[in-house]
Amino acid sequence: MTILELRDLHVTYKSDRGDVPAVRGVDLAIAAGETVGLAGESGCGKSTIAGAVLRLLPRDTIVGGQVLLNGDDVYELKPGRLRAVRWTAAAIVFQGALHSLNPVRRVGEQIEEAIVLHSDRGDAGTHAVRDRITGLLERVGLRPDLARSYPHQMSGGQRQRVLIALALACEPDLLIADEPTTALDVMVQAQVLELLAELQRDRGLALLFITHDLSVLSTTCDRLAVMYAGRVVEEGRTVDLLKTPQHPYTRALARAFPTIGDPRSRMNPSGLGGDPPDPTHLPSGCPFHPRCDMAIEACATADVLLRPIRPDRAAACVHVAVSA
Amino acid sequence: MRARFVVGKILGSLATLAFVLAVNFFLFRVVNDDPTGSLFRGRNLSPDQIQRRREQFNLTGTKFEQFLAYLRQTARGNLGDSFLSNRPVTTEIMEAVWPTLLLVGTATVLAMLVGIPLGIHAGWKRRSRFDAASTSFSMFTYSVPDFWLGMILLAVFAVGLGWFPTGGFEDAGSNATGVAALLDQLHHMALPALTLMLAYIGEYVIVMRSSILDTLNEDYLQLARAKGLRDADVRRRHAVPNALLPVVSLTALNFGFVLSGAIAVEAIFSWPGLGQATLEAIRGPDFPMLQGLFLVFSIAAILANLIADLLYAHLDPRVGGR
Ligand SMILES: Nc1ncnc2c1ncn2[C@@H]1O[C@H](COP(=O)(O)OP(=O)(O)OP(=O)(O)O)[C@@H](O)[C@H]1O
Ligand SMILES: [Mg+2]
Repeated sequence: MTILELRDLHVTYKSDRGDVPAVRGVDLAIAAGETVGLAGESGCGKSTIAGAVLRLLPRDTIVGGQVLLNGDDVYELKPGRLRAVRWTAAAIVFQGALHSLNPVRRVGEQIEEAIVLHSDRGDAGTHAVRDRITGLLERVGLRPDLARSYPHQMSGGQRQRVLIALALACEPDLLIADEPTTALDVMVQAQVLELLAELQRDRGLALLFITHDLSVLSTTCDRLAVMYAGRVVEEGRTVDLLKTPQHPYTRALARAFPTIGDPRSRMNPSGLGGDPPDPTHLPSGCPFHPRCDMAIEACATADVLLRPIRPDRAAACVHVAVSA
Repeated sequence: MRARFVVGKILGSLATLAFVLAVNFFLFRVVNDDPTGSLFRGRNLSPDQIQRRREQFNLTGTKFEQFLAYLRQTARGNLGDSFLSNRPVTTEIMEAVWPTLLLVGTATVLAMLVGIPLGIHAGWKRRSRFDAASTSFSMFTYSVPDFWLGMILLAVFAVGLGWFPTGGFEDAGSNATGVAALLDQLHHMALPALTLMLAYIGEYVIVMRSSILDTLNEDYLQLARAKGLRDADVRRRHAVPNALLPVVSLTALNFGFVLSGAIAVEAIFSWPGLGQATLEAIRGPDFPMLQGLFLVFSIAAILANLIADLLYAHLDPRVGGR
């Protein structure tokens, strides 16, 4: 069963510098129990997609296409329905655990708030709710008494776990984890990855794993989608895609792999020169062509969309032959 | 909040107080070494009588002896006698404290109660028509001098329309008691309190609004919204508790100026408070009275600072070593 389906999603932010087309036509589907990795450099639109799923983007943002959660178009929902869908159909482990927790409220309260909001029986402070918080904290490997702590009293890893516990509070069908390991050191990073994989196995939840670090995705994800400049430029089954990357950008990202934990390779995938393009000033043709070592003349003018290569596999590059 | 933090703050306040006492003593000696000369010029006093006055006003002996005597007296609550009325400064101040506390306290509380919610709404719905209206109103009242506001209100509502008395604390010669006396005092207080409230309110609106604006882009608001909270609950439970922190300090600090803050407005409305007393003492010049007033104003400011620090630490778990 498909939990999340993005159909030709477009997102354009309004800013002082003008319109920012951050997402420019993304199709993506995630089935129950499936883990999908979304990779790409900083600014390619990954967090924008996460925000678009729960309709969290700034009010003046223009969103085109469709976001279907369990078959309902999120952008057609009435306000009451939308609030009910948030955190129950999909929950997000936000990027930046440091700032995502309210600094003046105890973390237990912040978990409790979500539970109470979405259950019809659970009242704040009851045994049932407290047991549930204890269970959640234990599940993510934290001592239950940490519920009484304030965020600033916890380490980065602990806060990341709290955010995961918080995201699981209402047993969502889909968990969106936005760079859940980026701010952590390698040891903790491995633990959090392990935790997410376990949770995913135990509960059969659908997981959208967002990162700019391909190496993190190789062990956790069934399928990968690689984004560049607001579009998916290559997608396929993880093993297949990493073994035979078709798009030159994926190849550059994969070349950095498997130096797990090397911060330099994470920030700048091996040998890929230049900066990711500014969405307000995208190059003509294929947006990757100025950085591409395989660029030909046509690349400066022809903007290639995703081409199916075989079932479950597609890439957006002139060099990719369309299969029948 | 840890005990060490509290004790540290209290010790800091005491150190400030000691500094204030020293400055308060020596400043007035620098201004005028022996005021008896100028004070009693033209009055037929024998050297003997002048000497007695010197003793009364603690002007004999070396500076250091005088300072010690001053500290001893102050510790006992004796601030000396007023040059002008010859009555103890403590008595004079006590009489004037209540009217000022009543007037400025009322105005401050009202300004907070109105200004903070206005600021919250304006910030939350920024660039709305409500925001534009409340912000320009605040900017206006914040930037005009309070005595100007006071004179306009006085001219319109007291002199022109005659709805309110033009000044004073209660009707002269009135021997009303109980509710009638209270109503009479409120009637007298209405215009000066309104003036001060208008003068203070802008600051609360502006600070609260900008504090809310600072929280608008915080990640934890995004998370609160993602959980499925109503907009009003996101504001009430997550934005306001964080945004209130700077305003709480501002409020506590403002209470430090409750006693000294209304000199001009008290003068316009002949309000018999500390502001009037200060003006008279300056005109004298009445050094013991000024010295006493400055001490009281300083203590109010030090106390308000202490309360602001402790309150902030109580409200913000990140402060105060919890
Ligand atoms: N509120 C906003 N207003 C205007 N532009 C925005 C806004 N939020 C994001 N952008 C822009 O949209 C683009 C995509 O941002 P997004 O946060 O989705 O990137 P990302 O892939 O998550 O990057 P990172 O790896 O750094 O988290 C960026 O160019 C960013 O500058
Ligand atoms: Mg991001």
